[in-house]
Amino acid sequence: MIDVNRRVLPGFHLTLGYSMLYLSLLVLIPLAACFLRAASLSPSEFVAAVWTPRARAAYGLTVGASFAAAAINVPIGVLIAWVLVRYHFPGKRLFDALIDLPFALPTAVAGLVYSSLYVESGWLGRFLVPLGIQAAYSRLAIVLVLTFIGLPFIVRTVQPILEDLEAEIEEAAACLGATRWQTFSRVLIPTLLPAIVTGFALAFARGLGEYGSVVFVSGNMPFKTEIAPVLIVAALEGFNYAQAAAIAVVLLVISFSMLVLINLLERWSKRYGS
Amino acid sequence: MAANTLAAPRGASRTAQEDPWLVRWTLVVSAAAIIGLLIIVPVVNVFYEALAKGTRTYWHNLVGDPDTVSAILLTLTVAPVAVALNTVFGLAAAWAIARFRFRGRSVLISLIDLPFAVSPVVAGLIIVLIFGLQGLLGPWLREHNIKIIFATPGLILATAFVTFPFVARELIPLMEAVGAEEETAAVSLGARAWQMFRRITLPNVKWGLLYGMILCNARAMGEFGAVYVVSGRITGQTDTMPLRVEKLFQEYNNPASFAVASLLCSLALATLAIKTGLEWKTRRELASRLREALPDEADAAAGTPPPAPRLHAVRADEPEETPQRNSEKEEPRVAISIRNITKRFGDFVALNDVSVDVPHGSLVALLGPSGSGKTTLLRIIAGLDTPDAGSIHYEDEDATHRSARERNVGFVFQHYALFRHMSVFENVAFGLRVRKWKEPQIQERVHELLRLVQLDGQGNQAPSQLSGGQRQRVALARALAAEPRVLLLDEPFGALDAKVRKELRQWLRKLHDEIHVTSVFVTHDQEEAFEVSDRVVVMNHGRIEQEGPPEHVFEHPATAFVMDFLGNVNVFHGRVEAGRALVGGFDVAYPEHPDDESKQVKAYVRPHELEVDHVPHDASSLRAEVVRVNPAGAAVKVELLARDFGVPLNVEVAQERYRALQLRPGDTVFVFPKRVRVFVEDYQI
Repeated sequence: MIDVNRRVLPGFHLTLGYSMLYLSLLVLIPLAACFLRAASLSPSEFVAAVWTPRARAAYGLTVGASFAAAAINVPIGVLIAWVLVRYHFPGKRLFDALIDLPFALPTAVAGLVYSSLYVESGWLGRFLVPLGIQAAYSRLAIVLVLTFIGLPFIVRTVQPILEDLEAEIEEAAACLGATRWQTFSRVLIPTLLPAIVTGFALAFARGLGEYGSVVFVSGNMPFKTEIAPVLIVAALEGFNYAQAAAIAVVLLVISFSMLVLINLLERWSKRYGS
Repeated sequence: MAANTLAAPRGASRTAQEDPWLVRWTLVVSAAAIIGLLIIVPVVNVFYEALAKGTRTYWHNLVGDPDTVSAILLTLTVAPVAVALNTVFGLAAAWAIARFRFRGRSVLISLIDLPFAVSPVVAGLIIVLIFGLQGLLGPWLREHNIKIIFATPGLILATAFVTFPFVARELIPLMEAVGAEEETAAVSLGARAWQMFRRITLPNVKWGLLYGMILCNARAMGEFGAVYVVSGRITGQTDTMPLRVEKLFQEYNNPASFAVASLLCSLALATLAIKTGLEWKTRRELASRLREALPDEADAAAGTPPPAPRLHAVRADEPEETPQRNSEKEEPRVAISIRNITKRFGDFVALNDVSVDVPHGSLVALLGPSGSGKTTLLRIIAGLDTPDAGSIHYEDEDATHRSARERNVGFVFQHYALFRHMSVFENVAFGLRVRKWKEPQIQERVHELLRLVQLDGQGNQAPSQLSGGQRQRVALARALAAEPRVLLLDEPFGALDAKVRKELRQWLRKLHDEIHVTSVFVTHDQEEAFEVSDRVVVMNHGRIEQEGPPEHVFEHPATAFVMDFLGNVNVFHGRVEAGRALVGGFDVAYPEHPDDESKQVKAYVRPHELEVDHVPHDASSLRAEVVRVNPAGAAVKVELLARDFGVPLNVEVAQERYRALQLRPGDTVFVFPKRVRVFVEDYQI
């Protein structure tokens, strides 16, 4: 069938060739250029460029805040997916559609509104600030907005798995004497685990690269609330292209490792598939 | 209609999946609170802040500021170009990937996702590194006076990079799901590439394509990081809408900033609305495509006969045997007693006042066509469904209101329902672990069961490593582990191929003879039911047509339905009057109907109950022509055609008789029945 298709259906060389060309011009060559530019630095210059105390603080914050937000999204995402799949209630379809809002909403808008909600005079800040909770221009603000950005990932990876789960699995567990909680914790959660881990990794990866929303809510104070992409912008504004490229390489390596990890996770999650 | 009634049970809620209302309520309220706090409050806040100073100010903020107007126009220029570029790429890539197999295909698929993993700021940076003044192409571009960075082309490039995967990612799975058959057909009918694409491919994927473009557009219009880096943020020239939001925010002009943000937010909401609509549409189209491909099971069931005529008479020759041959014997102990069970799914009556007893230690088959209610009955016995009326007793205990968990039944599902993430051993041990057995006992019991199902030594394997027959044996061992009171099997061999099926059912019979656990199994295969069970319960349209030992049901079918369902039988239509039955050329005594009034009847004669000879015997002989002879097998199968009545007949003749008669196609023979079963067709409404 493989070779038959190529003889029967037209356009293989044209479409594949065009895809490769466009991919190379827009994505691959520019990415290679970035590595090339960073390679113009000597190893010690490279280290000096990417491993300053300020940069280390920014990496730490980026990774830590993304991890925290993705971790918060695990229980939230599973809860929402469960409710959307298993229960009927008024407004369910609206809720279901709204879950994708963080995908569709420009990040600048998210940043703008989150910063205005949690300042002292904001709708939510007026309750939180008196309690000593500073959810604007702080690290908490970054975690909060990244939680918003990452919300759809776990819901949307867990939801289809939960929908496709045969009812027989739970019926089998009930017949075997498991209580509802035992069924949930011993059968359902382990079955959903690969999807949860994948969703977590996606949300985490998204958080690592996020820029638009964070610059609004964080205040961008070096050593405190400055994330790694801000360093790149700062380096560019100082016309220090090589340093910008070097930091970009560090971020790219982190992102690509995440991509590889996600792929491995997906393969791992399919290991029991029939 | 038939499709609806059959679909009903599947759509019904499953008892085992229901949560207590307090849990349900708490979870729904928590989820709503989270969505409200994280999503709804911010959206409302955007519009509130934008309109806080009145609609006049809002309007002025949008159109009164030439820089804002130019930002809106710039976004409306950049996004469509980026979307168009990525759409062309998406179509090309999806065609190559979904329709062909080539080396490096999976690498290409991963590369398409690459831009998702790149921070937008890095995306902007790499474009600056190539096209910027200090960039690779910078000097050349300057010489030729081409401006890319800090100008519209740079914005387009950055936006295209960030939104690169959207269309392709949407189209690839869709094209794969649609399949290449229609396109292959079009090409074979002489369509050229462009005609095929325009007339077949594009219409098939149009909604998915539109969906991808909408998502791509939303992301393109909202892109911030990459555009921020390449634009240079020249007010009135290279500010897009999101950049304008930021600039106004930095200028502490909150109402204006929120005004622009409200436009972007409306765009996001519109995107979600269109997306929801399109998703629904693509799903429906794919579903209808699938329905066309697979002939609906329901259609087959729709052809099942109407409510069966009641039994009125039997046999032409032999004297009648007493059908209740067990009545004299001592009544066996009853393990499960089903009394007057009724179950409806909407308008569909799945079970209509069904009562049946399952004797202790027996193996009972529930036999019937799909839609007859047999699986529903089994699920009610297990406690997986609740009846609308009637009761279930386990020995003397009323179990009607007990949950599946409390009933201690072993249930074997047609598709095994093994826990994928557990090894074979853990699957079998599950029922013991939830009962808090001690580890040494668990080890002992599980190994004992694995030996019983001949899978000892495979305990560490994953269910996916086993064959279908092995999986079903694991399911059986798992069901038996906690020593259930009864074992219930729902089409246990239905998913297996013919050979394994046959082996496994003989094995099940042997197993049952060893362990004697009261068992009920559902099947639509009469051969299976007769081969394995001690008792057969034949069901149709939610009622029991007949129950009894297999040989009794086979020899004395109670209704025309049972006769039909058991299959492989010659059917004649005719009438009874004045103590005679006239069916298909036979004239047999029928003392049960002495009236002169004529009644429609159906008569059944099994192939081995017809005798063949070269000469007529009496008035009841039927003249027929030999059409085909199949001498392979214990008996010779002869196909005849009774020309006078246009009736085809199947006859089985013993080998010696066949040799004596020397039958050849074209011979004229006479057929007479040794036994005729006559059923008066009652038209009760």
